[in-house]
Amino acid sequence: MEKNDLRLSVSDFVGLVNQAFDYAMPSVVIVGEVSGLSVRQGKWVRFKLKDEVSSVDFFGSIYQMTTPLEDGMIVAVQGRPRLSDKWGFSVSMQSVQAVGEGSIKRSFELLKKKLEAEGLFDESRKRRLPDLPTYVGVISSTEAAGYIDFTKILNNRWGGMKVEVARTLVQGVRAPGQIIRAIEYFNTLGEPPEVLVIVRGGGDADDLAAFNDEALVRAIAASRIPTLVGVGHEIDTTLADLAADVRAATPSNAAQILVPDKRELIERSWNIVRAIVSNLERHRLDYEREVEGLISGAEQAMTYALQRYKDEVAQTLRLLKEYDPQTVLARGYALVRGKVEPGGTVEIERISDVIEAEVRNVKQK
Amino acid sequence: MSNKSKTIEEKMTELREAAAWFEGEDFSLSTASDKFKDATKLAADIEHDLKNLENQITVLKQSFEEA
Repeated sequence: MEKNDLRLSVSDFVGLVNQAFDYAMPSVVIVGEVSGLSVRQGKWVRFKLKDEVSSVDFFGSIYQMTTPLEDGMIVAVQGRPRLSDKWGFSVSMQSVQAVGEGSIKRSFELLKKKLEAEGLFDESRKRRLPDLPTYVGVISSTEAAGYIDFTKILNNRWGGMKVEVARTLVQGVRAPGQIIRAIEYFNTLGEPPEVLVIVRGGGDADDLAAFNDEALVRAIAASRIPTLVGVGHEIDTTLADLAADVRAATPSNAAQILVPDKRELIERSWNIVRAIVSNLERHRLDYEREVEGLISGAEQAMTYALQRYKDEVAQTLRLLKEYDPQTVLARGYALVRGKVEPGGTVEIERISDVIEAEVRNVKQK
Repeated sequence: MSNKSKTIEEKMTELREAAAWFEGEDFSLSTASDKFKDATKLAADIEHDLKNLENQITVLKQSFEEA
């Protein structure tokens, strides 16, 4: 033992080691296979992470177990290395995420079953998104392709909105915590956005695993602001999708769901004007038909009246003709003028001649 | 209220109401021309508004890293 060696009490040594850990590794993510998992008093979780050579102890509360664990699962655990004065060395778990297709699938199924039983994905919980939002909160990584797709489609389709973007990680064990804090941030604003959009582009199962984190899924379900989640490609389904009020197949689809296409709306408004023109034309035709009907009625009445007058005149003319003496003479009658007494002379007028005659006798009838 | 201070939704509602007037029983030929001019102006305003409105996107400075 050298004279200059540092001499410490056990407690001081534990404190110093923890200080060194805090300085060198305030937070670390360790990937390995779960073994010896145990939950005590329904609250405290202990397990080991191991690989082919080494194993490390982990300790935490059940609330930090953000994905269901089973022995044999491959997980990434975020935590702080601690040296406990009673329990020795372990990593204090802060969050955990399944890694690898098999573990992710198993963890997904276990958590889905649990949350489904709690009614977190029930259709009755789903809220409608506003038709035309004016204030939107977005949670994403601003460098990610999914975010760029979302904003591009959003700007192409609609304008005039206030869009606030919370920049967070969208993959890895730190991502759920950041997204949860962003959800909380928007939810605690005095004037919160009308809708919260969480987007992330495609990736493999590991990339999307953050969106199967239990705490994140619960935060989405608990958001008082309606949520729209568009994560991955069309074929990907995460638990965050299931907990959202509205699920979009992709970030681009989220923009399509969020706002109408202004080109469609412009077309729709001009279609309304075209419908008005067509209605106006119909009214014009109705008026035209009405006027035509009135004119035709008047014409008919005039024709009828004219015919009636013509008939009357013809009849009068016929009567007048009957009374004409020439008409009577034409029928063979004769007109006698003169002194009608024996020896008198009379003039007998017929249609074609006038006869002078002497009266020989007059007999009373 | 002038058309400038109305939202796009309000203008769309007015346009739909105008279309309904042309289909309804209140239609009269004497006011149809003015109503039609108003409807055309509304459609032109909607097109102008939609083509010129831009989104105001702000990336928040806050860090959401664990404190």
